Amino acid sequence: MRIRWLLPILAVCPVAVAQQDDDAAALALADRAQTEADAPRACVEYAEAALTETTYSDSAPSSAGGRASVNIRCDGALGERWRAVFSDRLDYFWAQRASAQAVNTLKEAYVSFRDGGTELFDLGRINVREGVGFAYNPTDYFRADAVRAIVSIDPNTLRDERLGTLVARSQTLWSSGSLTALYAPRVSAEPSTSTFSPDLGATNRSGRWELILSQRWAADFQPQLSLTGTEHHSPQAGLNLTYLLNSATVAYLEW
Amino acid sequence: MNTFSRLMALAAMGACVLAGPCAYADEATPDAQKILAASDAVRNPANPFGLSIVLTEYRDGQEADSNTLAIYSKLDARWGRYRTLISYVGPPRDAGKLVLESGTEMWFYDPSSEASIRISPQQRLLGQASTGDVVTVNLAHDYHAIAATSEDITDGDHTQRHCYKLGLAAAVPDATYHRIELWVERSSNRPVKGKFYSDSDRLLKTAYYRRFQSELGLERPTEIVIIDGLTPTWVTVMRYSNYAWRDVPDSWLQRDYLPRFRPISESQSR
Repeated sequence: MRIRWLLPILAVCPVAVAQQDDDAAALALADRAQTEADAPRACVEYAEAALTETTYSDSAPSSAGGRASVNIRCDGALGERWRAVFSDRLDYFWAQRASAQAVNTLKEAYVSFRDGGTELFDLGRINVREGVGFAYNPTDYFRADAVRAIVSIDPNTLRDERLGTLVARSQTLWSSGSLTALYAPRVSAEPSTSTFSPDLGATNRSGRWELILSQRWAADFQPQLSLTGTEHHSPQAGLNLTYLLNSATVAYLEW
Repeated sequence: MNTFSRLMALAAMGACVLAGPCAYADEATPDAQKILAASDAVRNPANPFGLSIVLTEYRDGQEADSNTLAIYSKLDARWGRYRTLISYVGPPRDAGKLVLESGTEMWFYDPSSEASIRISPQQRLLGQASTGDVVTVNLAHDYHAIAATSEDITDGDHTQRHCYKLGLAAAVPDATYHRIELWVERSSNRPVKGKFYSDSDRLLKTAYYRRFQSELGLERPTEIVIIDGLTPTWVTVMRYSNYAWRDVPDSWLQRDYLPRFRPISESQSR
């Protein structure tokens, strides 16, 4: 009987010793670790290359091709209150039995002014992206005709790699919410296929406006309401809402 | 003491010698929750502050990944919890990304897509370090300290410490861990070591708080070493630097501000 009491104690010892050894080894590793912090940088650039093989449902022979892409995004301060953002992508496509094509996508180019931290004003081409859901966003009003070069059919890529819209935008922030107002003027009704065209005819084909109100009503309840208007059309209302169901699950509602 | 009792005491002492940490009866019953709150005060400055964290992940002794983060944190007096904004400084592929933790809300913002996505507290940041580890957490708010015994253990700097061992049970539904064992130095209330457990009571990670330095008026840990509970050769080192008082307006700690975020300059420091 006494021996039975002793056995669990003695059995625990090797486990405890092993944990101590593991901890000591990890701490020795940390003692030797040489860590170096990355410095902040204004620009991030990257390149992509892809090979493609296209097959057809009819008897046409398959064709090989490819794509090379360069992407750059810069976000820098112009003094204490001013900020400038520039984001651009250049894609070069080629394929057998077809002429090569280069497409430049000027995603963003705008300046931002901050007045006291709670009043913000932006002017330029901005990727105005609304919606909390994945894949399809009914409140993403500025998505129409904004994709210039389809590099993937992934919905998230289509939302990321697109033209911004020329807008004037202001935002007022307070401790529990914000109000955003923006106006996108009509610039041109003619989209352009020219390689380096800003293609304002695709994104600013008609005058549009939007109001977005966000207000926290409770610790975990901050809906976002939007109202959007387009020339010759009735205004549209939208709603974005999220809720934490448990520590691993979030529910999204977008209407 | 009969023969059996002596044998048991001897076995227990042997177990202590072999295993290192040794618990013994306490002289007085301490208030575990007060110890926990005092330990929180060592880790977390009371006023809005900022710091930098370099997280380096090691697999089998080799560096596998590294992230540099800038952290801005502020205590929300209404809820007793910290609201934290995490800005990715590096590596370059992640520069400009943000995580906002405000109460039960956690948002991830990617500048390349201008998208803010709400995430759950359990979604990981890097290696074993979840966002719940990186953001400033008031353990005394999120957990009930249900026991305090005395125990001597070796700390992360290889020094013997006379500690309270606290047993913490989750007190709020969104607490990152189901339960925690936390060792707090008796004389200074410094956190020394923590063991963090899942809902199924599996050891998720062990953390050592070490390299204490004077930061913002107190001796605070400037490094946390996290050891995976299942794979002990998976180690994450979190190094803290550039502690500074930072003015973080409430209006910035919301989803709608994330696309507007700019790193807080020295001139905005307090």
